[in-house]
Amino acid sequence: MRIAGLVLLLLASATPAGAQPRAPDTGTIVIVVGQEATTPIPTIPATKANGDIMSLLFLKLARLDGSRGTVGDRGYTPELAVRWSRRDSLTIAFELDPRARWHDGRPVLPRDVVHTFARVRQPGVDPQVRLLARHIASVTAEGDRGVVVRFTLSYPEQYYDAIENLVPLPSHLVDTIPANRIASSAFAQAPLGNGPYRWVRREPGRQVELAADPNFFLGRPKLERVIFLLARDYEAQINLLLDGTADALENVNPPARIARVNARPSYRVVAGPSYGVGYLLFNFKAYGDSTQPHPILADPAVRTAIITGLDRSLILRSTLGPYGSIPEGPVAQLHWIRDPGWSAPKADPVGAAARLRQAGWIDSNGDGILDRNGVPLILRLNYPGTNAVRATMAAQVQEQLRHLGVRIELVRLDGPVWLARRETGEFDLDFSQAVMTPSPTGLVQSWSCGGMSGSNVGRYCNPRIDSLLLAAALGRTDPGPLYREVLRQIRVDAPAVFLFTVSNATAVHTRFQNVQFRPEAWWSLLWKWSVRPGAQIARDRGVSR
Amino acid sequence: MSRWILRRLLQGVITLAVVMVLLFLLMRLTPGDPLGGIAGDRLMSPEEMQLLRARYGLDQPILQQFMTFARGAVQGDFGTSIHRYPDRVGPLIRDRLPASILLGGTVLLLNFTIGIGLGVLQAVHRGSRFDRWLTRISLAAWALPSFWLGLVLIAVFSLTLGLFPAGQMQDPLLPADAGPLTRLVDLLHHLALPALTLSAVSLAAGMRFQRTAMLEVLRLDFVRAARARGLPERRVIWVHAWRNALSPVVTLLGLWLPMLVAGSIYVESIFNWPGLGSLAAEAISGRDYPLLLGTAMLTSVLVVAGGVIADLGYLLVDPRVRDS
Repeated sequence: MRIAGLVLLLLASATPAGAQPRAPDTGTIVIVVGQEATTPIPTIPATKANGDIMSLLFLKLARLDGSRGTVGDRGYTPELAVRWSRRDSLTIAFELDPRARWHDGRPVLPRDVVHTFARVRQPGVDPQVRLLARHIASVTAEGDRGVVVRFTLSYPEQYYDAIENLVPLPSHLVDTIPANRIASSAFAQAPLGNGPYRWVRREPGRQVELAADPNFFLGRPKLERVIFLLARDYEAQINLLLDGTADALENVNPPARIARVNARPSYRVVAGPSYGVGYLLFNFKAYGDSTQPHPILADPAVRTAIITGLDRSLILRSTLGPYGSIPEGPVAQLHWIRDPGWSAPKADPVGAAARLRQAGWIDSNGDGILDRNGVPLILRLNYPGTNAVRATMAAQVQEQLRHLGVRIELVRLDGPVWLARRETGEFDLDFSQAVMTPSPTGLVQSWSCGGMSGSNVGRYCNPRIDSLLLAAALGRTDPGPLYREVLRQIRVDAPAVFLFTVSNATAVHTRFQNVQFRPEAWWSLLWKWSVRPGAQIARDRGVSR
Repeated sequence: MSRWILRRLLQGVITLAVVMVLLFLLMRLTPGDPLGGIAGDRLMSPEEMQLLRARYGLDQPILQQFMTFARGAVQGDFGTSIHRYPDRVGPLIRDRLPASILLGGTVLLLNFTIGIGLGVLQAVHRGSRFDRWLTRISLAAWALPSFWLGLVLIAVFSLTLGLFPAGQMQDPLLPADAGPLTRLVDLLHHLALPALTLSAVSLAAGMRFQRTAMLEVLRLDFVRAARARGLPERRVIWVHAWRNALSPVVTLLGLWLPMLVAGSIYVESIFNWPGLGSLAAEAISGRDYPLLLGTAMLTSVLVVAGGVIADLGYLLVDPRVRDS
């Protein structure tokens, strides 16, 4: 009895005291994430985790809607800048919103933008950051509110470069921190921004907590407390959601997990387009030897036969259900350069078989595998074993190509080994997936001859593509047709089987309303969410479970 | 005696030095680039990769890398984590240690109280229905993979019955100023399932070892003599017999000591328990060399320490060892 009494006393004392009264549509959200944010500040190359939190702490001059384009300024909505104008072909002027404030109450000033640009130019800053701002010649302050950005040349994405790469830091706090030290500075451990949320704390390896800035100049956020809860294990992530510890989970694909979420009435799945694209990359060079052409895949007839022989719709439907589509090339659902009239051609296994036969591939010994001059048509397909979607798709690719007489040997690899083999060219086919930037200029990294020293691991090279990409990125004409010609040429050259662009399916508690996502920064519109009146739960009233 | 302890400690230091060299070499021989996945699916330029290699000293000759590692390791400094830059490995391990000690300590406590107690009772009631059932249950528990058991417990007690949280060490919404009692209850609530998962398997081992050792001792003459002297049965069992049946359990204690901090990689991962096991899992999957070396060295130290403690334990419980 005494023990029972003690337990009751413990439990009673553990129950929180009465919660403070709150507005009926305010609340708290706990989001499960798989990566930890360690440095969510501008001027450091953003991982997905850092980028998500950074987008809540720091505003840009304007907010991009990538689907409306990255050329000119038609895709932007004001944020820190209230308006902007072009002075000449090399100059853009921004006017800062006088209401914009840092979280310590000081105004956001032109000198903050100027300082950020100077920081980006300092030696020691990450080359990726410097590269992105390479066409900006200068940034100067003009009066109390004006920021003038001058470029070294006239090109279509000047607005994009200025707005995406000049995310202001509070110069009054960081001006004494060297550029190469900012990641390890006290500022990076407790960043002070100007966005809808302010930093509260980070518990390394566990969670990051943000709180709404009640004075946010674009409107007070209704979700007053945001917690990013770290769980690296996929099973743990979904369990934490379904047991009510968390309220939201991004990327609940594949459909089996979505079905688990939909089975709970408290949750719904909200899907939105993403910048992710998945493809089977052909190696144009011999396995592990970049000096020799690939003995099988250097032949365009084989590559084209593999592409046309695969039923991509079937693979997509059975793996991603409605949460994906077939891309026309290395472009995601949101890229403005997509041709709206393009539709994926139907699979043609008969035509593919004929094409292989014409190229001299026949089954001379009746073992079910085509061969030519004694070389069997056997290809090794590398894929990361931790990715359920790619693992499932790889098995289907293997089975479909078996019917064509192509033997695919699946090489399931640990993530770091898979990446290392990509870099060294130790693959015939590689199951790649990339999250692309909204700007199509990024195509140059993986699909140009120039990219062969870096990310173009398949070593596909067509000088015409390089010329088109250069003209599109730096020319004075409308780059749209040029990019579409790049996509068409890539389809002709067949350097990869473009399998899917995926929708980001996110599980969200049903009590939230006005749920919006931005593909460019998934959680950045949290400040517009609210709780349906009458649907608040204990945590929304400031009570833990 | 003191010379013996000194000699054992010296052996331990030599073992650790060998382990340090082996760990470093094995890690570098393992395929996979630690920088490969650092930016997720974002493509990195060669310049960016070069800068990162320089940051972590991966562009240095292998011998130079080893010297840097060894110098740091001797001082307990394993450098900066690659995937959690700019976090240092030392503080990362220090932050995770309490969670691991709590989980591992709870499991050890359960093993050495319930496990040993039940093992002794089984031996005393050898052949009874109680003994037979406990034997079946303990063998079944021993055969269960702990990660599977963990998933089943989550499915039943968290997702279906809603009695316990599916993971975490604490409620993420617990206020920073929550009282100690609130924290304690919350902690016990979160500890229940992972501790039960790990204990179910290892407790069975403790029971089996203790039962066997006790059965052997109960047959010996001195136990018969104690009974003949008319001593109460409880005293015969727990004072005379049990003390002499402790040696195998002391061995187990030495083996289990690393578990106190290393925990179980799988169990910590599925329960999202913020201990060293899940930290090691993360380091392995990302080839985070500094973090991996830090956690592996700590485990090695505990393995060596476990051996020394087990030897000291023999000295305490068995006078024959002391005399020899």
